[in-house]
Amino acid sequence: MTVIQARVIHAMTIPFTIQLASDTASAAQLATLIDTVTPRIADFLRQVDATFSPFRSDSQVTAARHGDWSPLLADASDRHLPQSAAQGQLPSRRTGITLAPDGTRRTQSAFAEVYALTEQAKQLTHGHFDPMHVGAYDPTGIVKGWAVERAHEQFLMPLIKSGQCDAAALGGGGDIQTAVADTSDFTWNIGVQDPSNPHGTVRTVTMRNGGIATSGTSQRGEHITRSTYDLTQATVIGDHLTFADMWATTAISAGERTFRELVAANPAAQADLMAVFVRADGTVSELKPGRSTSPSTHRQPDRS
Amino acid sequence: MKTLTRTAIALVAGLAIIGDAFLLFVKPHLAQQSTSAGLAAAGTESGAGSTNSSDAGAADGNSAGSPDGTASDSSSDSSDSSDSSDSSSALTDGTYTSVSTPNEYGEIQLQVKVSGGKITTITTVKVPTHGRSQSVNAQAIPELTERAISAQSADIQFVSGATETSTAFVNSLQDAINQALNAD
Repeated sequence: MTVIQARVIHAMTIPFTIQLASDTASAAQLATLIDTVTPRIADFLRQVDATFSPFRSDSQVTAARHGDWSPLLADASDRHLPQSAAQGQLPSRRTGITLAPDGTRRTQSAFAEVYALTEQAKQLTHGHFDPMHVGAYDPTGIVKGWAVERAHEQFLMPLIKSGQCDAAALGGGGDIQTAVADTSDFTWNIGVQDPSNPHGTVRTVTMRNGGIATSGTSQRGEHITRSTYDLTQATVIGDHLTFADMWATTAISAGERTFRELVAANPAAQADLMAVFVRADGTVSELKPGRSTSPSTHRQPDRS
Repeated sequence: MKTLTRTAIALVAGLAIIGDAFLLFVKPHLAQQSTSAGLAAAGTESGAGSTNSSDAGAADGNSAGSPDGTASDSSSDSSDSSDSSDSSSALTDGTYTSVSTPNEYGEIQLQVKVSGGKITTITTVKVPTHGRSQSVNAQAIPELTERAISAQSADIQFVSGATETSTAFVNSLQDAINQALNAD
């Protein structure tokens, strides 16, 4: 029988939920494992906040907002993000590099990685996602999804790869990255929040490895510049949470029609993304991967 | 007939003037703007963009130890401040290239120009990818179920909703699910 343990971390004023699942371990064994990994993820999230919060006077984002962009070239090994967190374990991913004028290579700073992602997001979405929308750099809209995806990759994937658990997921304020071992048939079932009922959901998403993110009109902290108001909520499912989160923000900003056009025009997005939209009138529509922009089934949310 | 010819000539001349004016006043301004703002949308947009793109390739290619491994236009700058020690926090002049790990939407490079120890320009360069990078494992395609779930259902582990705050977490649906899972 599969057991699941859950822990919650409060960081960046958001609740983060960690869940580990195992087909074989006891609840007590799984509890020991999750209690080991939870403080490491908490440390990582606090470092992310210290680096990226626009509300902290000593953050690198605040420095950039005051014209000091030197964090772009900061040596990642000088700081705790994200390499030192991986000390004692093999790096789970290839990191970016910074090439100096004298030809030396250094690990790319997290600040530079996120800056590049925000620029990429702006290009991908034709400016509907814009980290400079009010004239000051604000990567908040991408940092949460990026941090959850990185923490999942860095701290939870090794537990799956080493066989200590069969599935692991990390969610932050409603955006979730999941994974399941190839040898397990476990699936994650994720409810898409009903925006009009705090204890109801409008769809269930069944997934193994991927990211799911929801943006809504009630969202704070992301300062979305909107060109239309036809969507109340947008949920996007993809391989990676960073981009699922970015696309969900874009859907709220651009509206359903423009969002469908943006996705249809991008082969990678079209092959990967699914979406659930809650429209202003309360109806629910969907976007399936690999399909064109034809409208899908509409259905009133069931509030049982 | 005469009127028609005159009109046609006037039209052609007018268009030529408008075209010249665009090339003279608007286009250089656009190119300058994209460079100074560091937002050149890569290779496709302008001459400046494609130059950056090829520079990036060169920098990446011969980076191993060559002191002039970066864009040629900045090599004179870098010699000025080569005496600055490694431990100094001041930045060496020249062009830095920040290369991100490729993702499913491509590969992004930042070209950061440092002059007088300060960052003067940030240019974003999108490097064309060689097809989409596939996931290592065959992914099961997620499924959507048209089924609403009521509160504290044992059928779901997570709730995806618009950003939930720490203050509103207690008694939220996710809180209830977490507690139910730990109680099992």
